Amino acid sequence: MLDVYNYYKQMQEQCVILYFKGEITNSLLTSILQLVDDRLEHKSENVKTKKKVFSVLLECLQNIYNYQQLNEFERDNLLSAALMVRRTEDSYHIITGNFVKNDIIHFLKSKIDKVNELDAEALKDFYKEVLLVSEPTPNGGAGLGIIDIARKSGSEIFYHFEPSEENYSFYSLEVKIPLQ
Amino acid sequence: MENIQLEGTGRTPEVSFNAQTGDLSISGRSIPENSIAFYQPLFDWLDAYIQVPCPETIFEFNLEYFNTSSSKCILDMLRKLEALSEKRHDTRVKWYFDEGDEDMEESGNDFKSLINLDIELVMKS
Repeated sequence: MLDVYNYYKQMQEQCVILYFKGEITNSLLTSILQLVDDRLEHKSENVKTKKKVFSVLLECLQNIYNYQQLNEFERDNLLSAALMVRRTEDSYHIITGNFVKNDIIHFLKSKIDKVNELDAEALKDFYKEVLLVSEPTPNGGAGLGIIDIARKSGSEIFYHFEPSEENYSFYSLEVKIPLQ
Repeated sequence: MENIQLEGTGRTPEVSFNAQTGDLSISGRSIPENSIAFYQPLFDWLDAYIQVPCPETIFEFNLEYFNTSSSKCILDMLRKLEALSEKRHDTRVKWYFDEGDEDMEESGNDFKSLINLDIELVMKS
């Protein structure tokens, strides 16, 4: 039998309050957001923390969802994603993982590197600049999401690309939101 | 002109657009992943409204959350109101935020700096 207790202990030690693996469908998105909303309510986080965590999670998941909607994937297993929410003593951590085509890696890296270099004031200007020039598209995708994530978290965004199958890599993203 | 009255859902806001009184409001959560599908009828309504506006128009934004996809739609609605205001019609916007919700306050300030309109930030207590 699979050692569930072992998994449980590991997650407990690492302060994981939510873990999910699988395809992120529209109805699942609704459920996850509802679940996290309830957890935040239950933990009586202050309004600032609560709203930041919810907003960052929302943008992270919609980024994945929209990317998958806009792209054709050769195999269904490539639609599987991972989500982890950790709550440590002083912060929340939103961690996502999903498969991306290698041709988008350069774009993502330069985008995240850029927002990581900017301070709060510069991020605000960058957000407004992108907002002004972007046209609303059915699936978003103007790149406002990552700027918003950086603004709301106020922390460096970590990422990693792990080559997996041919033409694809597993893209991990970690956003830390300090308790307010 | 017909009015718009939409109930809020977990992903889309409550909407009340009244062409007879000039009272427009959007409240709750605006977090659909396809915001255009939701907002297009509202854009169309506003385009028609600004042809035959009330002497005074007040648009209240009372949002708990909005995603970046919605932010572009909010900006587009504000642009339509800006056009109304430029035609010398009394046009006011109220942007509500919870006490302590600095991000929502900041968002109101973002729009305020991008649009030439009377946008009043109102803290809910």
